[in-house]
Amino acid sequence: MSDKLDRLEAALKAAKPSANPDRKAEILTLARKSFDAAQENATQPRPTHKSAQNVPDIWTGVKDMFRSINLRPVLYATSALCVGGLAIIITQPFTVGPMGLTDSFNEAETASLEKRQVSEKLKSKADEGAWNSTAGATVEAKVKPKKERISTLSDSLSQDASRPAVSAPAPSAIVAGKVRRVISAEEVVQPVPQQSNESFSNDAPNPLKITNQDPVSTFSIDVDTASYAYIRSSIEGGMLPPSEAVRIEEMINYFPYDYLAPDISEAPFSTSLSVFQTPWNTNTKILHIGIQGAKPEIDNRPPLNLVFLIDTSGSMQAQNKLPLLKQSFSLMLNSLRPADKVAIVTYAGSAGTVLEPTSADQKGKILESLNRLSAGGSTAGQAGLQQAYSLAEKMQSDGSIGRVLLATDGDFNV
Amino acid sequence: MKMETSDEILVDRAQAGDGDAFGQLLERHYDMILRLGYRMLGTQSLAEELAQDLCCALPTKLGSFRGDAKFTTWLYRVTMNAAKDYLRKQRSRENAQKGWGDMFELQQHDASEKANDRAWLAQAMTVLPPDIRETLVLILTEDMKQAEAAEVLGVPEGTISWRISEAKKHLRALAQSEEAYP
Repeated sequence: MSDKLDRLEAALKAAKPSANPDRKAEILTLARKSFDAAQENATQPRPTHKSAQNVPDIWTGVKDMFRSINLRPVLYATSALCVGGLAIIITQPFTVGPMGLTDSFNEAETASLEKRQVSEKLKSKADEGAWNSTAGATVEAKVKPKKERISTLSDSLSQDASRPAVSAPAPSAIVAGKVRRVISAEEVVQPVPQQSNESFSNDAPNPLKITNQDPVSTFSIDVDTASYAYIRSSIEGGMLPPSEAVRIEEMINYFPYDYLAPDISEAPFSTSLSVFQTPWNTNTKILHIGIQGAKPEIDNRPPLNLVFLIDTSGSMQAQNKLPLLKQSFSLMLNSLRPADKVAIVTYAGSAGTVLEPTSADQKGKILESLNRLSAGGSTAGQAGLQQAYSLAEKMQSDGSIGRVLLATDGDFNV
Repeated sequence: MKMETSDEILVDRAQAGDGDAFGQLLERHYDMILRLGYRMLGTQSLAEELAQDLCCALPTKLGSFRGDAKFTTWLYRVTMNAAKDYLRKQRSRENAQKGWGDMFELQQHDASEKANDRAWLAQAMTVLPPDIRETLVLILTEDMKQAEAAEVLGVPEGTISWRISEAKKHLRALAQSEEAYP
């Protein structure tokens, strides 16, 4: 059967690429450029909170330190000092720590309290100068069940303990445990991701299309921009946004491009096309298609009758809900005209009209009723809607545009 | 006679940022990269595309070369991995250039003996899965011993001999189907 393999060998050996010196030179030049570029970019990748956690190898340092110290009395003395000193370090971040760190906060606090007691006990033992291994063992037993981490650390340390020079395994284990707690304390002080009930439903990204085989493509004309603002607020809050919140098209659409508007009598939209070199791939080009729909006339718009239906249920209390809404509302007020009318209906446990239809030039009155809003209670969305629409009906007049604008954070009838 | 600077010294210099050393390394090994690419992928243009992508990626990849193997061994491995990536990408790129597959269709109508051989080769290579393909390219055309190929591909030697026997099975099956449908 190996004649088949021989035939393959002969055929494969005969299959040689033709020498193409020009192409070779071109490729080698490109590679050389890439080499030079790599030299300029030879910096470390940007640190993230993840990579930062990998950096401190305090543990190894502590282990090395104890290995290098052979004098037993010195070891005892320094251990006692470390235990005392570290207990103080641990308690500090929590006494000044932010409120509401809930579980990890409480756990860490009780842990540090317990450890302080233990360390006091240890210190008194050390003072007696009789810090024998029995005392150490009871202490270890007390600390051990607190965290599994500690026990694994003391396991690895007890290998050291088998070395004759270091015969005090338990104290070292406690010190190690303390050091670990300091690190965890830093973890706790880091920004804790807010309890978020945001959810994202993303479609799978479109696959690659070979345009000379499949030239027809469609895309939606409505424009969402929320992703950009979401990502910005998340980054400004010191956190990476969840990957599903990153929607490239929304980030692109966030910015105004000033495309040429179509002549309304000719077409509902205009296109602007441009082709340019792909910045990251010299072999491809990017085709950019911009679409601008006809712009509605703003200067001569009819007067607006706006009814704001605002959810003031308890869940709207968060700083980025009702307070933010009030802020945006007062900003929007500036773009209204005296002929426009504004009314506010709120709903929580029940619906109520907070502001009767008011001309938009009475800013003081509108802002005052706006500022009186506070969140609390359950959500009676249906009643609110009915009231808002009946109010909108009352405001109706010829030639004006009526709208009910609903501001809520989700669940409608609770 | 002038002693040629060893690959390893050139790599050291390139890793320290010496562009000329890097250029010399590529000059020395470009033909090997192209040759492997050609035999793995089956067309000149694909092989050149692969060579270009790989050569441009090498400055970054070089950082991961630790010198625990010979540079050529490492370069063989990197090239083979890149070629397999290409094969994988090709499969996902529906109806795009198919390399050996294209060649097979192109040359079916050409009656000359040489073209016949090429057509058979193209067919055989299309039948062989990438892992076996790379093993055969190294053993048959780069004259590597099984142990060397095993080091390049990062698999046990036993896997290499198993792959060769698998290759024989594939070729046998191909021969049988040729007899059935001449």
